[in-house]
Amino acid sequence: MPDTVFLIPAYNESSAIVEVIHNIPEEFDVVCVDDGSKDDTAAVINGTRAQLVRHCINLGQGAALQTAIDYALQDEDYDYFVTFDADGQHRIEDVRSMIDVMKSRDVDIVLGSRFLDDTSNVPALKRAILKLAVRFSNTTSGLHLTDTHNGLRVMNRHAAESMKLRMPDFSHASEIVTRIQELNLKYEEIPVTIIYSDYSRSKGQSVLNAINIAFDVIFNKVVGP
Amino acid sequence: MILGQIVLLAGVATIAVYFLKHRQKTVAKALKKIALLCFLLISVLTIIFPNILSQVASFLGIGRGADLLLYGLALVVLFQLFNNYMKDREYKYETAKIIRKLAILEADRENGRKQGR
Repeated sequence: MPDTVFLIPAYNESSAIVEVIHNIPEEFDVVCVDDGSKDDTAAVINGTRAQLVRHCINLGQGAALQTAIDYALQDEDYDYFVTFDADGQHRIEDVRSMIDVMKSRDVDIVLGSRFLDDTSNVPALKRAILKLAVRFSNTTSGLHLTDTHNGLRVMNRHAAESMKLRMPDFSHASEIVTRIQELNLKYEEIPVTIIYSDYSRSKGQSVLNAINIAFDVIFNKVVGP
Repeated sequence: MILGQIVLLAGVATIAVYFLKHRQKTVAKALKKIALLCFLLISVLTIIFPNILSQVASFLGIGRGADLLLYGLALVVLFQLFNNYMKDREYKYETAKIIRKLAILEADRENGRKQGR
C-alpha cells in the first residue's frame, strides 16, 4: 500500500490528464477530482488507475483540491499528500526530492519553487506578476517564500488535515500560505522545474487573476474568513 | 464641515463597522430589521409630507430634498452591495461543502467497487 498519494484537481483536461496519470509511477496512488468538467474528463480518468471523485458542478480549483484532500485523508495509510497540476507541468523527480526532504527533515509542508534556481522557463510577464505576488504574499503573511503560486507541494498528514480551504478558486494558493503562518506549520522550499508547454500555457490562469487574488487576500485580512 | 457631511460619513462608517464586527449575529439581524422598518416608515412619511425631505435637507445643510434622497439611496445601495457580497461568499462556501460531501460519498461507493474493497 503506497504511503504517498497524488491529488490532482482537473477541469476540462481530457486531452492531457491520461498522460499525466500514466507518468505517475505505480508506487504512488492517485486521487483525481473532476471539477464539473464540460468535456469527458471524468470518463477519461475512469479509464485509468486513478481514484475519481466528481463534483457535479464546477466549484473552482481550490474547492477541488480540498475535496481531494478530504477524500485522501479517509485512507489512513497515506502519510504524504502531493498536490499536482493536471496539465503536465510538474516533474516526478521533483516530487521524489520533495518527499526525501519531508522524510529526512522535520517539516509539515514542502513547497516547490520556480525561482530558487533558473531551470523553469517562466514567460516574462508571468515572471513579473509572480514576483510581485510573492512580495505581496510575504508582506501580508510574514513568511519568506520565493514562489507562492506553485501548484506542486507535499504535505504530511498534519498539514493536510489543517488546510480546510475556503477559497474556491485560484486564491487557495494564498490561503495555503495563510494556513502555514496561522498554524505555524514547518515549511521548506525546494527548487522545482515547471515545464511550460503550449498546452500548459493555454490552460494557465490569466495574469489578471492576480487582481482577484490580491482582492481576496486583503478582503480576508480585513473581514475574516 | 456641514452637518450633512458628518451624518453621511457616519452612515458610511456605520456600514463599514457593521460588516467588520457584527455580521451574522443576532444583533445584526435585528438591526437589519429595524433599519428596514425605519426605511419603510420614512418612505411613507415623505410620500405623505413631501416637504419633510426639503426641511431635513436644509437643516443638514445639504440643499434640496432630492439631494438628500439621492445620498440616502447611495448609502442603501452601498449596504446592499456589501450584504449581497458577504451572503454570496457564504453561500458559495456552503454549496462547496455540500458538493464535496456528495462527491466523496459517491466516490467511496464507486472506487470501493472498482478495487473490491
